[in-house]
Amino acid sequence: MSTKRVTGQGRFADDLRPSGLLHVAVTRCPHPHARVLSIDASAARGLPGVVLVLGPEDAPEILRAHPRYVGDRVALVAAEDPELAARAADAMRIAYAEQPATLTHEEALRPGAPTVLEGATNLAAEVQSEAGDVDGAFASAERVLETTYRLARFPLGPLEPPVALTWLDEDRRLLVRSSTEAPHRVRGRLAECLHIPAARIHMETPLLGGGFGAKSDLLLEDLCALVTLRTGRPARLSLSRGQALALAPALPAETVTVRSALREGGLLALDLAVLLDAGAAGASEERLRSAVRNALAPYRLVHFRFHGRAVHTHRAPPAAVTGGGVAFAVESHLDEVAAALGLDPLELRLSLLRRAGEGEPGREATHEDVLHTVLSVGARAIGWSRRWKASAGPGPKRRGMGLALARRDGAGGPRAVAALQLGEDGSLSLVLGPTARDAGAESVLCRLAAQVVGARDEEVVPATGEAEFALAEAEGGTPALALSASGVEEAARRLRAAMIEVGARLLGVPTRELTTGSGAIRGPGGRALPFAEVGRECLRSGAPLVARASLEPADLPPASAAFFAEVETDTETGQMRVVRLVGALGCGPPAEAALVEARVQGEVLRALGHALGGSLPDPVLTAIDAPETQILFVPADAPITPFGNTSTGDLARRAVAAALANAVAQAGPRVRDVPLTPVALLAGIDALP
Amino acid sequence: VLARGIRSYHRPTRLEDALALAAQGMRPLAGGTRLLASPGEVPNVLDLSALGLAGLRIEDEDLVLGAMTTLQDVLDSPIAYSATAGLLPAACRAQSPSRLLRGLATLGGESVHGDLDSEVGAALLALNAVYVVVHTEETRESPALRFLKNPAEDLAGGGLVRSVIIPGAPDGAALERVAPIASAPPLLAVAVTVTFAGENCSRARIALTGLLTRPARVLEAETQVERTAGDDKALRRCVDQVLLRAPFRSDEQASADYRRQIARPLLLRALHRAVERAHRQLPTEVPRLRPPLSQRALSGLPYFTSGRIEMTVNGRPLRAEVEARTRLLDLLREHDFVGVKAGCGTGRCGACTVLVDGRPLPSCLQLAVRTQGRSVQTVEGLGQLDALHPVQAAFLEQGASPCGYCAPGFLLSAKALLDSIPDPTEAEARDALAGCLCPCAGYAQPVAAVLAAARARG
Repeated sequence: MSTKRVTGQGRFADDLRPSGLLHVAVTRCPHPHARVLSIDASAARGLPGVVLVLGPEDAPEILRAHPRYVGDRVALVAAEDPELAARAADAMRIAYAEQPATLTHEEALRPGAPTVLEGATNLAAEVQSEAGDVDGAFASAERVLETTYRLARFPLGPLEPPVALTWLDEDRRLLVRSSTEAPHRVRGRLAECLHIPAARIHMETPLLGGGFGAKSDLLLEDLCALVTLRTGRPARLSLSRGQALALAPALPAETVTVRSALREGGLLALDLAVLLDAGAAGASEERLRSAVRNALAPYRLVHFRFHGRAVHTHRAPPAAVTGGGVAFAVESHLDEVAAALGLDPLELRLSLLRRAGEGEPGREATHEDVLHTVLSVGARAIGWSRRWKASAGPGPKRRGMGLALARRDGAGGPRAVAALQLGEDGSLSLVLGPTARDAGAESVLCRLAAQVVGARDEEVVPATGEAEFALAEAEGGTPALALSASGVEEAARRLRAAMIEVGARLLGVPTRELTTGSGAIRGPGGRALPFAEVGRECLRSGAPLVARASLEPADLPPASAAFFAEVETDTETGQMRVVRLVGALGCGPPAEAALVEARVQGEVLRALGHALGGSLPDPVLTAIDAPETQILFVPADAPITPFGNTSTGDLARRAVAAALANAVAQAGPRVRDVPLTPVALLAGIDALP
Repeated sequence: VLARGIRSYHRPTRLEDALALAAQGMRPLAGGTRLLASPGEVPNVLDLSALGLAGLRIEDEDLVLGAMTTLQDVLDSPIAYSATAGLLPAACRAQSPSRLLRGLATLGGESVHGDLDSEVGAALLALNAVYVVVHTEETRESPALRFLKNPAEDLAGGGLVRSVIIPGAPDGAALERVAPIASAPPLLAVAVTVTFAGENCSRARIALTGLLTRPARVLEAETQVERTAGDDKALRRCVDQVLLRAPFRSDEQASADYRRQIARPLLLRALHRAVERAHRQLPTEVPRLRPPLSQRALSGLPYFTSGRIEMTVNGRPLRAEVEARTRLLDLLREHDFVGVKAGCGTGRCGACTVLVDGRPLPSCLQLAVRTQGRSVQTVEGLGQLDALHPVQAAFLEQGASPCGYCAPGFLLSAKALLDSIPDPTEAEARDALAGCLCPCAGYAQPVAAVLAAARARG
């Protein structure tokens, strides 16, 4: 974390504004599905200070004559003052013909359900896979257990509200300064819908005040850019927090049905069916695949079947992240299997874990052992052995402990990109993707680069400006800090090798006899060539030294974690209190433990928000809601960066809700819906035999 | 967007002037937590802060709370604990877990515009509070039972709440609530007080939220406890009456059936606790209180539409042209104090926190004109690169607030805490930070940083 973040000096998107701004406001559709019959803009246009009013006929790809969710954009106004713009947007008289709507994913495939996009049905993506002989296994089962889990849509709620600023430079290039996690994706989509070359669009990359996937796609930039292109003037548009919670990409609603075949005290086969709400936008098959691949990867299953479907609804499009529904369902269902078989949930999981080298071709790493380790370390920390003792007691309150595993491979995730450039005075510019900077990790990464190159710490400086964006991650999302660090290491290694080659030429010494340190190339007999001379030579010869690296997430070992929860349930009211959480992460002990832990703590907090507060208008927990949470880093074999050897992200999100539901179920009801509200818990308690 | 199309701002110093303006239809502005956070247009506002209506005092055994007393004032005052058997401070904390919002929200404002599920409303009902409502012609006393049912009725024609009187302390009181998370509004809350004369209960008051109406008492239930010893049987009869009579509400959060079901255990627990406290004559526990900040002589403007205001920001004078509708947040950001972050615009997230005369408040809920003549501190004034404030150093050290968007709010909240309590407990640190959200990294590191900064300052 760098000092600018505690002195107020950090500059976020809205902290630098071009002068002469126009303020944009949007008239949004109040219906889930409608057709615009007519627009009367005369009142809005008549307000003094209103500069521009646009409707669907002006920009059919940006403003909708056929809005498909509550809040879909229909018209926009630009004015000299934000209050005036809002007033003008309210003054637009729009006549709608309401259309029948498909409001939930569960009704989307029913016969006669209103279709959202062109096409015969609302099926957006479908994935089927099967291994072994699932029907045979179910036929031979002594017992079949079938349960259905439901997760509500969950807004991600980063603190910085979405905002976009656009203006034209002297060459009429479009400059975009917005709070996006995915500048490349936004630039590509802007080029498409504005019909201008992407090279004409320059994305600035200010600091980002949280994203989590809620800022992973075009949201405001196109509306703002439209105003700038039409008027030639700078424009600004933001969402209020309330609007962002409703409209920005959120975790999708999901329904997951799990069937398991049980025989001889063990789990024989699993059959999973997932239905995911893709809203009024596209959906990716890979996301469905990765959800099931990751949820089942820890376990040795010969027979399993998966049927995943993403469906369109008249709802705002969800975030481009894998839903946590399959993980919640599998980890909850395994506990239900354990209960049915009379087994301890921890024992059941240990017996099902893959062993090293089993399955997953091409993976020789011993990450399967990491799963054993995270389970045993976490179990010890929470005190799993006193599980039954803790649950007993007089009075209406019951304690319980639960656990859930999470695993995630990096496939399909964002790449980490880094470049290191040597300047003519021997200093080095480190170019990082935006998300690596925003994790507050840039000073650590600069030190790392300095170490590898052999420069002094203060000589490596994070770069800003255009170069930075040119190298940004191609897709949205947050690459693992460990991957960013590996990328920086790789770029620094390459730059060092290139510098040594130049040095060898200048010194007339073979490269193998050269090394680096304290800002110079060092040769035999105490000879030293300062980096500054290498830099100047490169400049003279017309080839500044730059080294780049771009790493695939698949270059990291899969990430694994076990989360354990102890909860107390009030059996008379359904009120549940999280007593303690333990997360054991198999990423190796990171040198920058505080920084890595902060990220995990945040993800736990958001997962708790989903699990407990998901029904609230703003589900971000406060300091008095957050339970004691212990994060442990379990040693791993692979090479370790300052941030550990693999990702620590996107694990808590998959495990925390299941660990809570499993803990509640130990001494109380099985709750299969997220959020776990007091209402749902009490209904479950009343239904207990 | 600037605050609600406000065009004129009035800040009378005499009650009769305020009443005259209220009678003309101006909208009273107390703490601003609702007026400035909700949509809709309010052309003319009437700031009640210069009328001397803040503060708590004991008068003839009664606790008198000025209408402009903030919820935080209640928590900071020892007499608020002793005169209400701890009920009113407990309700203020439960209803408003954010230190920032508690510092703004007033008892008057909460009473007049209180939510359907106001725990402060329930507590004031259970405490038998009486509202003193003033009009140009007359001063009326209106019991909470009547006033809270429909404040508009008592205030019609431009009335203002002057004070709330809590007559005589009960012998025992209790508040019970159920909510999805501690900081959320309750699905159901019950507030109970009992007073004994000898062996028998001479007065019981039972109020609850979660109804079709605003919080209300159930009189038929109260009489089941009165003139009994408060034994379990009497308490159960009392609860039966509540379940029979209370109009529980169904909404998106919970059904009426759920609310009715949990009303029984919550009421029984509250009643048992209150009776036990009364029997054992337990003294009310008073937590460690912050020393009160000195009141500055206020030099606010009596009337404002637009023009120049003056204040001190980070020790330097700032003179600025503003309009009545300009929020302090907008003013500061326009003058390049962009360390003050815009977050939710409703005071919930704390990103825009500044200190005004040493008190932390969300600058999105403050009209700039209200800080005329005051001293404002932003994160830019906390410490410099080469001379960080201990809380800044500790935040860096602990890796708290990695993205930095929430950091200014946390840092200023932490500084305000350490200035009043140099050696906070973990619970006090959590309470002080509960007005700021950090969805990136949670609160383990910020809380640890506050405690570390306290140690570093010795």
